[in-house]
Amino acid sequence: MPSTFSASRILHAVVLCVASAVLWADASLAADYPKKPIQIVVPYNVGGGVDLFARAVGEFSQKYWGQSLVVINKDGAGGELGYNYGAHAKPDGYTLTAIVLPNIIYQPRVREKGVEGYQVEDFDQIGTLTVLPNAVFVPIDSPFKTWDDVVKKAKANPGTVTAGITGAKNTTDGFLLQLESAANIDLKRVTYTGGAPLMKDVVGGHVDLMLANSMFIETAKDTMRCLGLASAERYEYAPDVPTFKEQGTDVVDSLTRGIGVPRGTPADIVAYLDKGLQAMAKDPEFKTKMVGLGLPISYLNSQQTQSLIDDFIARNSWLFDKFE
Amino acid sequence: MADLLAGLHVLFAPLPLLLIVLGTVVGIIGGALPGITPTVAVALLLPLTYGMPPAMALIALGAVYMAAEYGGSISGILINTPGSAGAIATALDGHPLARQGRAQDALLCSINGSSIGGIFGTICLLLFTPPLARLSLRFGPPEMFWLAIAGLSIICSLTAKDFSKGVIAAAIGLWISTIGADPISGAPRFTYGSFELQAGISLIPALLGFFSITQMLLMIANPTPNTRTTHLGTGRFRHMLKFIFSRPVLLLRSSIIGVIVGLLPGAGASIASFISYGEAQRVSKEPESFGQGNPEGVIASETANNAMVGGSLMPLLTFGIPGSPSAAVLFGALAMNGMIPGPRLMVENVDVVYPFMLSFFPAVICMYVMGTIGARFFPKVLEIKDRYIIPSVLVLTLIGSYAVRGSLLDLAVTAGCGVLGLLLKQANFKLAPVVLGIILGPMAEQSYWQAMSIADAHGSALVYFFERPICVVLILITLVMVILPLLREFRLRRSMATP
Repeated sequence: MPSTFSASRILHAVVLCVASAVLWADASLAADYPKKPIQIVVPYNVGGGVDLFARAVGEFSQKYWGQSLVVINKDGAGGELGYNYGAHAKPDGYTLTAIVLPNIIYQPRVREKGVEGYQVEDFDQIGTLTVLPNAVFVPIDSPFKTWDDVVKKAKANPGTVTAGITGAKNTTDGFLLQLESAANIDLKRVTYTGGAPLMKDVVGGHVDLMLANSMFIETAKDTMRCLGLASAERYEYAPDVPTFKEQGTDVVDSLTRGIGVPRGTPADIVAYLDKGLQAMAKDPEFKTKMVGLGLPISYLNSQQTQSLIDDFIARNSWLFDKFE
Repeated sequence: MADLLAGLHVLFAPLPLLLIVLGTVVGIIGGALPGITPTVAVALLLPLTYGMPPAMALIALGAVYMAAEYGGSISGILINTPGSAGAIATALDGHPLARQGRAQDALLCSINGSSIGGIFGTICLLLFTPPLARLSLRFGPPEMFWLAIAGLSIICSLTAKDFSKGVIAAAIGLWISTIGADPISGAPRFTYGSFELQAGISLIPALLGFFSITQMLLMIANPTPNTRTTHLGTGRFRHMLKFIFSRPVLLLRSSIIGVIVGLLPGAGASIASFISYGEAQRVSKEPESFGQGNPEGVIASETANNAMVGGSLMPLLTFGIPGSPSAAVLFGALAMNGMIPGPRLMVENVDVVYPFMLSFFPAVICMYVMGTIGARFFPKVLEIKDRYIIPSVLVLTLIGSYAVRGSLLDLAVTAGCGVLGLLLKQANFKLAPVVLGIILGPMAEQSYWQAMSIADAHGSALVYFFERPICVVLILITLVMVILPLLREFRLRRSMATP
């Protein structure tokens, strides 16, 4: 049956052509990457800490990634909207996402049963630029001079010390649970929806403690004192502040600023971005800018970021249950 | 004093003045476009300021912020589509004025009010920043709660004629504000398994639906011939100027409200303008004319939302706490230049802070010139035939709604709110209380639970909510706001019963 034979041959040829065209296109895509501006999804609002971080990276992206970076803010539901968008974007390296750990670990875990959404595994980590130890702040004139003062008062009168967190079931909420469990105390949780209103109420003396991160040591040094940092050792950018560990409360917890891409992004593109980010992290001008934003560089590469995630999940599975 | 002079010296040079003009143009256009909020307008310009000296960057961004708070009123007045949340209250009277052929008057009220508010806020910023910023710290959760309640009580005067419908409308707005994750526990409410709804209904898409889409649907349903002539001549300028400046109390009160609300993070331009509008109506001799095209409503709202600009910068410069989302972007601009917003800024970076604060004067003047000239030309929009206006505004609105954060859900919200708005309008409900509910619902809910937690830790909730001085003042204002319109209604009915 020659006619069928030729038909199948034509089909073969077409399939081959299409396949090679696709493959070739793919290969060229990776080879001349990046040939157009790169987007970065910021799952938080304009002017917020993560937004500023992304914009700072954007200033240097031409130099290290060869393309400009376009910031897209998709805020809502504590980042859920933006992370879903970023995780399900086309994995071609043109849509990055500003990653905040452990937010993207908590979020999928505390999501209502049966609701679809991204998982932490949906992202390939390019790298982390900043690791901010979580911290507890009091107003500058607070009677609490040390973390021990807080623990003593909370033990004597459980539930009378108020602790402000920046959102329900987010990093500060998890940090609070870890502090309470490690110090065996009971604090009164006051939930806000953002840093500015909480800081106003802490500085104004309405709330006793502000749960936040080391960023505020620099940016709020005239209005608030830091009682402790949740780092394993003294934090190099604030060596005077004692860790919780040395004050008898064994909590190590941090918040990061990093960059990820959807899983499935070609390995050479990931490597390209990783290399550029690593070089950017060493740029003195970029470093100064980041210090000014309260985000001193503590660079982790793709691999190290992934092990940070794995380690966090291994240590804190009890937290996820508590959130439910 | 020497710092002030040095500041002036930096300011009066070609580059900063050029940046002010540029910033003002961007601000007015951005503010007028639906969906481009003042915050977005400021953020859009932020990347262009990289590499500029810090003072120049702040001057440009400040001009955008100021002008955008005014720009929202233009589209609000002309096509009943507030370009920013701060202009919702402006549109309540501004658009009826435009429909009566008095668009130019409304625009003149808006630009004059905005400029006076802007100047007042700037003067406060220069002279009273430390004490006023300390005042903002005295507003804890119970104060914020009562402020939200005082704001909600405005519905009594907004809808005095048909009180029950006003309450129902506000309840719809409050319900809409509860959609999404519970801000305190994180538990989902009315989300039906959608992670997108977790984020809640955001204000701008809903606002565009209730105002813009509803308005266009109404125009389709009730076609009116283009009789909205707007040539009122040059004499109007002097006439309106006289009208505006013969009301110093209104201007002062609106400015003060704007500055105070601006001080508070979490209460923005929309709340400032609504409270100012409500107060103007409360003390007015003819409160029933509000909503029908009373120029005082436009003045009250616009004065407050521009006075808010100065107010929102005070806690930023004193404590490093931004008083509004736009102020937060300015925080970023400062931080990117290695400056820490807070007490030491005023000491270490005087060379930046003074030119920045002073730059609002030329910025307001620039805005005033553009707005006054524009007041003659913008009304020409009304001469365009409805069949061109309706599709263009619908497209612009949907683009604006999508532009907020690129979400398809927001488009659905805009469309849904538009249809809901049409239904409510047909049943003689007012839409302002719905929007007021959406704006104030989250503030009331969050501050209530925060205050309850704190009260629980320290003892009595009763004492915490009712015995703090600012709370008492706010409660009294609320009572007056609720009782006065009812009393007036009661008297009116009695006088009608006894001929």
